[in-house]
Amino acid sequence: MAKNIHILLVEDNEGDIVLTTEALDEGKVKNSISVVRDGWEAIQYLEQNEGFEDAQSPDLVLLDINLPKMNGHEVLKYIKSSDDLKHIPVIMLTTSSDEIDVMKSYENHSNCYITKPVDISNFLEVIASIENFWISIVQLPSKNK
Amino acid sequence: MASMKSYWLKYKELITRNCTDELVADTSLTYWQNRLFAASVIYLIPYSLLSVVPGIYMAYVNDLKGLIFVDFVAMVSVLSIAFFPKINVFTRKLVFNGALYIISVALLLYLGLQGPGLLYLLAITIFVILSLDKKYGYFTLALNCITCIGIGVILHYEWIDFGIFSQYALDSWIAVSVNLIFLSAVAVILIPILFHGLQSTIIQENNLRAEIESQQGQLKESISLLNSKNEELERFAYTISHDLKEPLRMISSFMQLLEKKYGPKLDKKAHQYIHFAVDGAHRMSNSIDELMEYSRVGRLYNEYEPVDVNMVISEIIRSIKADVDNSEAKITYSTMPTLNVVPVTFKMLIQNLLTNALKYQSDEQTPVIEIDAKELDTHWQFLIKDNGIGISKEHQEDIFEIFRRLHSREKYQGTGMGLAISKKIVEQHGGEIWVDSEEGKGSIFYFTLKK
Repeated sequence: MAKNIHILLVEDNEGDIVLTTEALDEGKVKNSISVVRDGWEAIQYLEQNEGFEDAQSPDLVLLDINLPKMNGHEVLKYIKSSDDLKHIPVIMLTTSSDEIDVMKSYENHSNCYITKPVDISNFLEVIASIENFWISIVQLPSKNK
Repeated sequence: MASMKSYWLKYKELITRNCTDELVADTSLTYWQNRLFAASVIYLIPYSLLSVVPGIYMAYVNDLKGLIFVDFVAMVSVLSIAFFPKINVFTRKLVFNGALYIISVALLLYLGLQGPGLLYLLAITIFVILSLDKKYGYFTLALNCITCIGIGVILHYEWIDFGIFSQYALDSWIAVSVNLIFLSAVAVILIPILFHGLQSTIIQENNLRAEIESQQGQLKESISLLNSKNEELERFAYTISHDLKEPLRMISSFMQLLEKKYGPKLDKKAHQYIHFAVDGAHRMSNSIDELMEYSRVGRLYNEYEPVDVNMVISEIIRSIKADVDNSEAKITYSTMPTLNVVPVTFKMLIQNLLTNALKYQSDEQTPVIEIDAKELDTHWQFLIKDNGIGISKEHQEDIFEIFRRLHSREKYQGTGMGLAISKKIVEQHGGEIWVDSEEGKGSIFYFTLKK
């Protein structure tokens, strides 16, 4: 089954973009990654607005909280209240381990919340687990209904 | 009955409106003087309607036409001040007292000592003091004197023949009227003193109330300022923790990635450098976390709930089971109470002390840890006793300061924040924390919690 999974990474930190994409590239599953660097851009991408007309609707969103223009909570709220987007699983992947951030994310129907591990090997493991669980184990909705 | 009552209420309302001044504050003496005046007018009118008929009849029978006229004039005056709008209250009071004064003088002239004239004079004097200013009391007293002397003069020279009046000799008039003057003088002097006292009490009370209100206002302001400062601090703490940890994570991640990808190309020294960088970043990250926790005690975590201490301890022991099993430690605790505490921080406190007791042990012996609680008058006192390495006397106070460590990191890991956080938690619960220890012979940590 050669399924090609498409992931949207919403992240403003270049270092994290490198780490995450490298970790995902090392994974077993064939996937493609699109990167946007702020909350507003994420929504333009998902809505396929100007500049993103050819954007491919993602199977999975990895969303940071601390983002320029619109923060992760706002993007999450937007996705989960849009009839066209709310079926897409959103994984909060952030530095914050703040109780309030965790609570707010689940209240806004985030699919899971992960604090980025400080340790690189843990970080790679976490990304591998995300890939394993959300791409290999979980049955995702088929897109573009 | 119902309509009678509603007429009576309307009548009262009308007169109260006419005879009081809305602009006068209900805390001033004038306000109550006006209310008294209004009440007097309200009840005087029905009463005078009842008494004027027999009065006029008696006057008619005795052929005292002057008295009938005076009764009539007084009646019209009282009715006008009661029902005419747009007259100021002071004028109403003057007219009212003036009308009564004319009646009493007329009664004196026509009925002499047999009639109620003198009694009226005394009553008016008191009423003037009650409804008007002190100086009008003295004015009325003077008027009383003039009236009494005037009548005495009339009696002496027999200028006017009033029939009944002429029966009395001057000396009996003097004897009786002197009493009136005396009683009037007593009333004019004493009642204002009483009033003055009352007024100063009212003013004091008002000032006190105003002061309390302004203090409450200030308190509210301070609280809202404090709340906004707290919010600011919370945002600040959040930003700091995020902004400091993000670059730290970058340092440590890429150092490690460097090691992972280019490891074989690096020599031993390069590996060691990388290790120091990564370790430093980790420690700093932990310190930031601990500092955040420290700042949150009493600020974010501040809701008290009843907590079963037995449950807390058994939960903690379960969570550190690996360490307990490794060291084969023996942890015992007596039956603990259920206390009203802040659950998150209370658990943190017990956990800090318990992990410390487990951590600061020499390698040779098995840790024995004992937890106990006893009830004092105003507090609960807890103790956590271990057989660990102990703390020398000179350091027994500064171990509770932030980032204070007594040992190298190689020997005992930690940020040096644990006891500082514990102290803050105990203080949050209105208690104290201290240690009793001897180096090499274990420590007993005590803390109290306010009931």
